[in-house]
Amino acid sequence: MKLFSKLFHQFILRHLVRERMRSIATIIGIALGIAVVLAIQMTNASSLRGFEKAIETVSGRTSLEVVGTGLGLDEGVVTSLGWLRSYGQVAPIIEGEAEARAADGRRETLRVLGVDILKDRSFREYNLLEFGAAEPTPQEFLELLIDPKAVVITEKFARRWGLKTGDEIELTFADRATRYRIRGLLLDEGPARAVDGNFALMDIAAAQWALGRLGRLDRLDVLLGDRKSLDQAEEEIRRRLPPGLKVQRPARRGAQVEKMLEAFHFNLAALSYIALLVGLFLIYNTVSISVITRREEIGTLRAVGVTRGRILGLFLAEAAGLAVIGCGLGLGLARGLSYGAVRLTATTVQSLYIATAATPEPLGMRQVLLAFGIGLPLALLAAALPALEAARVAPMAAMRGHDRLASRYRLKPILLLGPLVLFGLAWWMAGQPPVQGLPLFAYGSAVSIVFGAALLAPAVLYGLGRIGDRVLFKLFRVEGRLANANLAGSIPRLSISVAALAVSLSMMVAIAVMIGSFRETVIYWVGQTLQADLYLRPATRNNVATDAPFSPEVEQIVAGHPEVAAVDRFRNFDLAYADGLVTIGTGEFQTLLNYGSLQFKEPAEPEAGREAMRRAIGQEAVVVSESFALKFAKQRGDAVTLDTPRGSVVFRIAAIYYDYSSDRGILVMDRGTFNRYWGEPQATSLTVYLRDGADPDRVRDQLLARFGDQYRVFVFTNKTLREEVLRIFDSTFSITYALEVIAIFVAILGVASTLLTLILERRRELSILRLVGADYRQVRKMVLIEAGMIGAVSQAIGLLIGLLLSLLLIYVINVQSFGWTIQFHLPTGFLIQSSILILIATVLAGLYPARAASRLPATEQMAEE
Amino acid sequence: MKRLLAATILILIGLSLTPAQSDPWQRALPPFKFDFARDHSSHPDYKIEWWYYTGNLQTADGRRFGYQLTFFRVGIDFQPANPSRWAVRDLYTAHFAVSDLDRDNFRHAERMNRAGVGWAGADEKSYRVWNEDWEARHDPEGHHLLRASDATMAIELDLAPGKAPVIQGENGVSQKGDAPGNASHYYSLTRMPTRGTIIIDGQPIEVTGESWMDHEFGTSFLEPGQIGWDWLSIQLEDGTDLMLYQFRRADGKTDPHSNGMLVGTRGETSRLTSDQFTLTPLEFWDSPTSRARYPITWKIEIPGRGVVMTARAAIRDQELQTNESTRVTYWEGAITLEGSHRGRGYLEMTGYAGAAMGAFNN
Amino acid sequence: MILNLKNVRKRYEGGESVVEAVRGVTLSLAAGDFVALMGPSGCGKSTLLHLCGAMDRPSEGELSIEGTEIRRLSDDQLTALRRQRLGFVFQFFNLLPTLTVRENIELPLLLSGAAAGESARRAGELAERVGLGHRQGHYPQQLSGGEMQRAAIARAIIHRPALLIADEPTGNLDSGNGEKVLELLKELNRDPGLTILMATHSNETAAIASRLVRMRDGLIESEG
Repeated sequence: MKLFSKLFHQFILRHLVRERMRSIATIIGIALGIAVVLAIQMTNASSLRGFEKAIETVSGRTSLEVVGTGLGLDEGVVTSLGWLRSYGQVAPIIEGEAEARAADGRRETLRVLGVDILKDRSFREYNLLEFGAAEPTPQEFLELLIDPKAVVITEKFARRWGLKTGDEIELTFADRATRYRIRGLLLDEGPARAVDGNFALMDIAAAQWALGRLGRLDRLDVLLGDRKSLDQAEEEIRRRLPPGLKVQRPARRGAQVEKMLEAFHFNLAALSYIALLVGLFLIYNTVSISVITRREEIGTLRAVGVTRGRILGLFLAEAAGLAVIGCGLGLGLARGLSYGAVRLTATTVQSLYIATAATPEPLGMRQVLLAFGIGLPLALLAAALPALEAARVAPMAAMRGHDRLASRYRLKPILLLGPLVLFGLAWWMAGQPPVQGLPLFAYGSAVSIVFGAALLAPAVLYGLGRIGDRVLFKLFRVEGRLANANLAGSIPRLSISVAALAVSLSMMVAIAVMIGSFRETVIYWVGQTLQADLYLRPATRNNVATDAPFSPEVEQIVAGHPEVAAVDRFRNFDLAYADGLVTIGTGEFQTLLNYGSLQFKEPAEPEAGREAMRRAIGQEAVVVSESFALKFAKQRGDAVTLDTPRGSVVFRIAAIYYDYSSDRGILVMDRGTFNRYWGEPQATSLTVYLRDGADPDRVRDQLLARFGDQYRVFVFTNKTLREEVLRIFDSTFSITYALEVIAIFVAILGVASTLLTLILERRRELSILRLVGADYRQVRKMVLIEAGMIGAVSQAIGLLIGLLLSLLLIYVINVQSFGWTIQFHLPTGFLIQSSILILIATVLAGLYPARAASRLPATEQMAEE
Repeated sequence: MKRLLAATILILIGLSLTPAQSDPWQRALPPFKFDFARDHSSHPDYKIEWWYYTGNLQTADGRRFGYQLTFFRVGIDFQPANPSRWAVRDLYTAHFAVSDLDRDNFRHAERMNRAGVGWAGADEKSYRVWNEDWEARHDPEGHHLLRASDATMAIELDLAPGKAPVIQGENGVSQKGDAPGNASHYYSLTRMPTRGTIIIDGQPIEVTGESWMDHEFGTSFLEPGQIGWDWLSIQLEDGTDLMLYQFRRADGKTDPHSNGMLVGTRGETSRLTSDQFTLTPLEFWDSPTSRARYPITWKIEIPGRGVVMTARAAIRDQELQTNESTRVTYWEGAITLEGSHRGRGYLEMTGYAGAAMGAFNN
Repeated sequence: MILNLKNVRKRYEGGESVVEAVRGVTLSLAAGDFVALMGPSGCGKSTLLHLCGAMDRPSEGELSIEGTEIRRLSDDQLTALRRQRLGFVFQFFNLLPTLTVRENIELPLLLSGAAAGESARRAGELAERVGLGHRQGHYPQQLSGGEMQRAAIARAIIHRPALLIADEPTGNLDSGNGEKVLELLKELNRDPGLTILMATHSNETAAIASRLVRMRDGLIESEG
């Protein structure tokens, strides 16, 4: 061991220090790769943990909860549940979100819990600042909350906003802005810990009124007496509950949301691994270069009696050393990156899924383990091949120049077999169905394509070397010839860097093509579907965590406007369906048929689609979104069984329509049908059709003026809604690009490090060049041409493979994870621009190596001899 | 005249919860004509109302029990602005206690609820008042059916009306202070033959005996300067019922509003003024939990009627601590009477455990 | 004069110690001279060769190539001078392994900006001349040592230099190949009358030169 550490010190460490540029580049590469993986993991966890933690902290000691189907529980039903008390204590809950608004325009979302404090104390802990260590009695607490405009917020939030007990705070529930009086401050315990202190407690009556949900509860929390086991009680309650009610454990809601976000998170995580993959290419690169360039030294070590095992160990230790430093740095970087990632994903998660806390999970032991648990083994794996090669070096290699002249690369046709097999495998895997809703095989296919492409890199470089001389000589004269000759002479070393760069570029191309296609599809869909003149929604969004219906007054104002021809009152909410959640929507089919238009997938003929929809009016029939149909493998005419307040009901699928607003699966039914099961719906969005000749902007302004300060409603005109749709769309993919840029940066780092190595290795040739009269400009030009060529080759491979991957993304991965049909569209402009950028970037990456090369003195050669 | 504990509890609730606004509640003003059975039911126009049952019961083989079941209603917001069913118009509290006298065991429980979706309430049309699964109501024959249970105790009792209701005060109004309307409507059923079941630790026990019921409603009960009172309801073996109470003032004097009433076997009543009887504490018990010192044996003298009796707590510890609601601590328990007359009854003592009277005094 | 050295000194300063490798050499080569430079290792022979090859400037003294004093030239001017007026041949051949024989030979011309056609034609001629006409498209590693050295010589003279600097040109060759290389040098000295300065250890090699200069401890020991 002592010898090993001595050898490691002398042979590896000193070398790493001497080659510090390359070591640093490798470490930065690993660090970025790990940081990106961690940051995405932390970001994903934050949106989910935020929600689950909120559920956990808010549910307190609740053992079971009785919930309704989608729109909560009808209070009328609750009256008949007196028997529940024989199982323990029962507390009614209504929950939702409100937007707090400060005078300076600052806005934050608060999670609002409405409780009957007289019942709630056994379930949850509330410690008020004003009461110190003593908990207030239920009655004292009721005194604080009983006013309909009373609210208790957390000390944490109050401190952040500079508020104190007795102050007023403006809260907007759905479309209603009201001033509330702060009657107390909760210490950071119990439910107050939820969502980073953005929590408000209200009396259940006040909350019901504020949320516009009179007559409804979200759930009944049950705290079991210790008489029965949880399972037994759950089973008994399940049997006794009337149709339309369910009993479940609180964690169930978290699991449903997790399911909902799963595809989004999975795809993000998969993307994040690209950067790590490229980082690992760097490790492989570094170790193999260090093996290749030091054959003689390895030979000398072997000649003086160092065993093969020890040589292997030394190079693995080199990889491990680099990986450990990289992972360590990556951990530090991850924290910063995760803040960026949370910001980039927040819009998406909030507008499409749930509102979440705006801070990522803190760095913990979990991340440390993850970083080293992923980084270290993978780094060792990446280094295994070159390290094995090092172990095979014979003592003979110690003799100088032994194999120097044998370095010219010859393409062995057998090497083409690997890529072929991998591409075949990719083809097969692309045809496989998803595994538990996740496109695992498709990702396997993508990985196969990527590795196939990587293995193809030497062949491509070889081919290029054969034809490159003519072109480059024409373009760049002798420097071009030299560059080409250099590249052709360094294929084994270069192909790793080229492969790494090509892989990350192919990902970028694939994603760009996918997003570009998606964007075009959405633009087309928006153009086809958005026909109304105005769209209204309450200021706080209707989502899984809160129900935000319009006030009747707002609906009256809208309907009463003289220039309004028709209003489609649309209601949507989330319903548990097969482990997860789907969205149920209802509107007036007749209004939609008269004024609007849906893009039907089945039946494809628009008139047939409209006819199917017309016939669905009043029937037990639904029109479902494409993502629902794909996710649950449903066809037109199939039956869907939904839990309604009146028990399970079978609905027939009348038509399938295209929808890109949500990947959750949407089922739309006519208002009349909906009414039979859920009762008269409150609208959560309004679609307004104006009379001919009306000016939407003017009507919008008039409506907003009528709403005044009391009602907060977002009114989009057709045009602004389209812009809004694209804004959300673009923000959804900003994280994707950010991840890609990091991966490409890492890859370019790899190019620079490889070039630098090649320069050092070619000192001898370079000094010959200088001797025969090349001046430093010519040498620099040559190296820059080499760099540019690497970029060009990588981008060329990247484009080709990227297009393959984009097909996979569009036609397999996307369909399997989100259930969207995307029309293929080539974003030519972006691809050309990015190709030029990549070329420039690689040339820039060549600057440092070029400078190093041109500075080598002409006497190097002679002094060495 | 009244059971003051109820007043205290309701005032404590009402004081802190009533929104500051012009008082829409109806005041107790003469003349008031009681209408039974209608007036057993709730009177939601009045701010405060309670129904109070106590009784001494025994099994066939002589095992003795005492019980107390009380329902309180206090109006909080006469007409809540919030249309939600959960808006608190009235707050309902209930106390329940069982004294297992021969085993020297006392248990008590409390409930506090808003009406919400019918988890507590008091009907107006027919007599029914309830708090979750605790309930008092009329059956078709006018019997009072009581039902209450907690983890380790339960009662299910059938109370016959017994003697006719005794209307307290004059003209149907029991005056509390000098201002008009500072009064209540109040009646008592002083001897209600009772039968039913007591369940102790899951063990049902058939019992019979006699109960005493008070029902009072009004709006204003304030009476400054009083720190507590002692109240006795007694059913003598000769068929006479006796109610006695005294206020204790902060200055140590006995309040002149202290009062008493005798109810004869056929329901005929006669009042006792404070100078016509004396109550003298003889023996004390220190509560280990509240540290209050309660007189648990009293000498009762009514010189004009030849009454000299000793009222003794059947068991010492019959103290209720209502930590979940008002935090009022009081002693309410079964007593036995010996001396010139023999009998059984209930004794209520408040104001001995400091905090209880604080709010009442201001 | 092709090469003229007057009292040339070269010092290397490495931290505290100062090494004077060349300590006042005066030497001149006329056009058509073939001078062999001999001496034991460390005598300053290599340093002198560097100086004559315009790879380095003397610390003191005058050194002119075709009348141009190199002490006053910039790096760029030195490079241009080497590219146009000097040719080099080394012990280890020093062909670029990634270029073919013909590409190696024409490299100096191309680096000087000659037209591609012209340089290719001349490289072809020279390859023929050094006996590698049939191997022009081969890579250096496909050649024998002697062939490689002949290719290197062709490359060294393609731009018609005034002076060829040869450092142990036969040091890494067997005697047969060595002789062939020496033959070639001799021939080039005759036609087109190339001026050659050749360092060597071997008396046999030195024998083909027209003049012999011996060095010891940085000084010229004998000349003749």
